[in-house]
Amino acid sequence: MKLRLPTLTLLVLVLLQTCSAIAGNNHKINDTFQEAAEFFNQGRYDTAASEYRKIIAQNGLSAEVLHNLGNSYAAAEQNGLAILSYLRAQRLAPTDADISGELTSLRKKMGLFEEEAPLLQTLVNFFDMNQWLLIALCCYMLTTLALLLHFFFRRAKWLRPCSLVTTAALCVCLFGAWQQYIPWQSGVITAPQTTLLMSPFESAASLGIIPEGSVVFDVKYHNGYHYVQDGRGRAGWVKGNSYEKINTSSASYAAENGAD
Amino acid sequence: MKRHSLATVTVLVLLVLAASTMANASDDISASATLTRSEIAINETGSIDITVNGARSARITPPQIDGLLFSQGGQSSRMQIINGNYSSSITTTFYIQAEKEGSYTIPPFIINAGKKELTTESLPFTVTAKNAIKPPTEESQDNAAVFLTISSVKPNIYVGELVPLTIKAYFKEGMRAESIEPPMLSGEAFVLSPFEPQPQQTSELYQGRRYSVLTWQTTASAIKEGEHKLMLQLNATLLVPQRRQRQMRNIDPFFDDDFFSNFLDSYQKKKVTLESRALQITARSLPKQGRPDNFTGAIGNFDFTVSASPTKISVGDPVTVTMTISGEGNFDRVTCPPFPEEEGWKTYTPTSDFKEEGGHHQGKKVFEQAVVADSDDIDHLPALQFSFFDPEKEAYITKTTAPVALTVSGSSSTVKPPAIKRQQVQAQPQNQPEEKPDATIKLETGKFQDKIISLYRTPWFLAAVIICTLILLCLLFAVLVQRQRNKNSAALTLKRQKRLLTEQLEGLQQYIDNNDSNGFMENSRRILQQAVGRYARIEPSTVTLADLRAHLPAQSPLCALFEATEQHAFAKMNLSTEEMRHSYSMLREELEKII
Repeated sequence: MKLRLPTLTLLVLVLLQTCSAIAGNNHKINDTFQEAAEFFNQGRYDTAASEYRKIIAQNGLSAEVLHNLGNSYAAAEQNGLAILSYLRAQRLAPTDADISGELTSLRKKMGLFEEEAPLLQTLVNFFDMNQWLLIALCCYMLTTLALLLHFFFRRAKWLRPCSLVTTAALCVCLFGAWQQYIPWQSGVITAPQTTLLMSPFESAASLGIIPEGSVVFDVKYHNGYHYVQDGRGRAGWVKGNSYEKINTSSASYAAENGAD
Repeated sequence: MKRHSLATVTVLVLLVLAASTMANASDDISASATLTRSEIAINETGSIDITVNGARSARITPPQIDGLLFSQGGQSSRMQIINGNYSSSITTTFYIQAEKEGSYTIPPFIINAGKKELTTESLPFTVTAKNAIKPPTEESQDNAAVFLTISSVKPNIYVGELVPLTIKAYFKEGMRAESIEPPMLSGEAFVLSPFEPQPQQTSELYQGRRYSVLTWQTTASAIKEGEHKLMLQLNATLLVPQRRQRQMRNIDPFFDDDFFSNFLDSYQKKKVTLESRALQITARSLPKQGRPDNFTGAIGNFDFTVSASPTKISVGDPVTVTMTISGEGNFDRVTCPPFPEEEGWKTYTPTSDFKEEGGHHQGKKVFEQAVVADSDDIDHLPALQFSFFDPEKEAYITKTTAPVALTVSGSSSTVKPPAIKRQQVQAQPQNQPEEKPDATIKLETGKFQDKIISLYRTPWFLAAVIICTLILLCLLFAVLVQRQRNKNSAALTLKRQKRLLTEQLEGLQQYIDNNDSNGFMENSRRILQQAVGRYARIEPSTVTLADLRAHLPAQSPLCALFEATEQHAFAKMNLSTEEMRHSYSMLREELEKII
């Protein structure tokens, strides 16, 4: 009993210290976040973007920070990076209307209009891959539950059609997720006037200009060049620094900041 | 008698005449060899016909030649008597298979006809590579059934310049093609523009023969400087008629007409790769001297016009500048002419639209750019410039538009500061514009996460899927076990029922032995009730004759027995041992069927 008291005291102290450290860190993040917002309001968009990047590098990705980063890039006319940030934010918060609105408005301003997709594709595009997978998981769990209940309560005949409906819904969701798998791996052209090249070297013949902010699919990588394909089927090599994948990690922001 | 002797004499005279004619004919024997095709591919089979005139039989020995194999095919013979002149010929077909490509001379065939030994003449024969149809020369093209041509108007071009090409695939009329792929470039020095989905189909007379012609109009551009060969390939699957010439050799030539061929011939699929003749093209790089700064790689002959709308605006109102570049050239390298970096203007990203007018390289590209005047001092839209290289004049040309007059109104209080470019923002952060972007700002940081990750890689998602799958597997296992148990219990019930029936029937046997017809009938009724009750899943004591009729097949003898037992219950009947035994065996047999 005598031994337990100092141990408990020590534990409480450690807990308190941890809590205060977390609170202090949160306070620091909030300060930097407010500071970045202040820079944005003053019109110092590049400084604001730099602050937002720091927050991401130190704490991780957040839809809100990425959204503000996108705003800063858009205001500083770095439209490719702005679209990239909005798309990243959208991956984290797919239902956020502000992010969708900013993205649509910027694309419209840049003349990046998406071609009208067939009905099936429009339906598939209603959700991204993660959303389809989440709904698929729910359907899978419901199917399992319905079959489990049906096993124990044979008289509940309605459970059988229930399980059939959820299985059908599961198939639909898996199809949607499969269709959205390739778009999920896409990237964005971040540099203005990016030239699509025939081969992965500087002096290769040009296949045309690919607009900044275009969403492209990375097929392969060679010698600092990405072989990409855009939504209209045009394919060619672009320089590594003209293209960034949408899926990213805070570590890549940290590396970027380190490089800066 | 006279008549008979006259006929006999006539026949004899005719026979003598025929024999003498044949004897004369046998003295005049000749042999010839004819190749059906003088050139085959290595994977094809050729044939040679050896005709021996003046003989009714012949032994033909094919020659031995390295690289060619001869195998004997069919033989046909022909006899004719015209005005008393008798003639006969034998034609033997030999198939030729080649082991390697090359030019051969087929040596003479040795023919033994009667007592004579004859030889045929030597024949030249060519074996080409597998399925490849060589690019036709001027001479061979005249005789080829299919060939590919390519024509260009310019032998000297610049790197990046678009050269119009006309590609034509000729198929001899009547030849059928199952599939034809668009032509492909062979070589790496050029790139082709995309083809139209459907080529133009025409019919042309070439060297006196009619051909079906597929024509593709496209453009090519060189990507390397130097002298290069421009050559195209086209893959096609042809349906080649397999003519029944040998079977029809002695049939009227009327049937050898193309009309009958269409009905009588069969077709063989044959994949071919057509190659065009190589066009020698010299590609030069663009001169560095005199290259304008705003040159983006456009090569051709272009016109450049600019219009603006509206021309009467207030400060801050957008003006749409429409820049139209029309003409002929590589439009993919035509980019929007840059708006001059003048103070007082804010510019937006332009949009572009290309409209073809007669081909990929002809048309007009329209750029629309929104610009905003930030000051009422502005009275015109600045002159815009577009530079390109004209390959005909071999010089860079810069086209400059005239300034477009504008009327900009607005008070000084509404005047906004000039737009500052990105580079200036980085260099002088103090001079930021006061213009606020129209954007919402999030005030809370939200939840942080290390990376954007696919849901299927998250541990909780995987755990949920695994748990559900395990539950489903367990359920499946449980269902299978339950089914097995049910099957076992059904088997046990059957076994029990059989044993019960055996016991009951043994009891019934005792009544027969004791000659107790009352006991026999009562027990028979009880056994029947129990068996049918189990079978029909009804209470055995309630089973009636109507139930038996409902559940047993019509005319079942059990119904008659049950009726007899019911009658016995009211009016006792005495059955003999024989009758009881008969009923017993019938009962046993029928009940075993039910079980």
